[in-house]
Amino acid sequence: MHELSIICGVTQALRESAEARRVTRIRRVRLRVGRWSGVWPSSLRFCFQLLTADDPLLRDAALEIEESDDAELLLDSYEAEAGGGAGDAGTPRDQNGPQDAGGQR
Amino acid sequence: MPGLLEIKMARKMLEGNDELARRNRERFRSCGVRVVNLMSSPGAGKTALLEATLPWARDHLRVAVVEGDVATARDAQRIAALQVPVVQMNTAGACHLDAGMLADAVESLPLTDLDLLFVENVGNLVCPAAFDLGEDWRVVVLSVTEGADKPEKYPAVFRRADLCLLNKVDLLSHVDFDMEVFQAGLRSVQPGLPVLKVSARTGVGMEAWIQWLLGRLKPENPAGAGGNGFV
Repeated sequence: MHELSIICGVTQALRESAEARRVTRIRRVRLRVGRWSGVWPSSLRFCFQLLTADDPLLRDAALEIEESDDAELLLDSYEAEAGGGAGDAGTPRDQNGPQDAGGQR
Repeated sequence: MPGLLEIKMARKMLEGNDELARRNRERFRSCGVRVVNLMSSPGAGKTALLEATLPWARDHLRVAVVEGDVATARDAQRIAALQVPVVQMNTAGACHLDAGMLADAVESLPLTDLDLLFVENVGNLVCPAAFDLGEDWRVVVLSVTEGADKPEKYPAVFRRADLCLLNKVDLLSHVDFDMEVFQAGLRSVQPGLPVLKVSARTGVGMEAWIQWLLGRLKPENPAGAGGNGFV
């Protein structure tokens, strides 16, 4: 029932991370959803489509959901087009490595 | 075709709520108040249980209640009639309380003057399980009229509970509630979860529930010692 608010949080985190890395198009998003989390993968997919249909950053992104045997809800990783953005979107495996520049450690 | 860059996030989807819950927990600890999160489906008897618990609790402890409901202040009115401080939260459609809502709700309560705070979650056996509020203990209430198969059908809320109260046991002879099925279901979801059979209506089992609370509140059981999931 709260899948929409969860996906709002996911897309927000993706937008912030993409902006920090100057990524303009995300092609794949990987989530990990625990079978004890009370959250439906199919509802997550539906809400993801709903929220990204008009968003150039995310509308072509495939949502991959891996189910785990716990209660975890994890935004695991995403794949973005490298070098397709505003000039210096970074190169694959740049010197900072594939870490999330905008995230919290 | 541009190359693809993999970016690792490893971020909890409920990170926002978890952070607010952590702040709530810190605040409750520093104020010296313990918090019980009461969860059940609608009509299992959460408010009736509180009505049966509070007259005793009020004589021994400084206690307050936060009521979560989609709409109306009916439950808060029932609690207020017992001269216990109460705050009603209306979630305006949301299916659960979250840590931010609880932080707002307790603003008007004198936390440093309290020993125990009951949070009655929105009636729902699914969503409240996912949202840590910063509570010390999670108590799930199931009534015998709901059926014995509920622990297996709604495992998350039972899996993360510190105690299960089986309510309305005065009706056992009138309903087809198979105690074996219930206990087997609970074992498959969380072996060792304590269960107390109670009736808020007749008072049966209420003493054991109160003893459970008193045991938790002893100084040697530090706040957050439930340790059954979020803490």
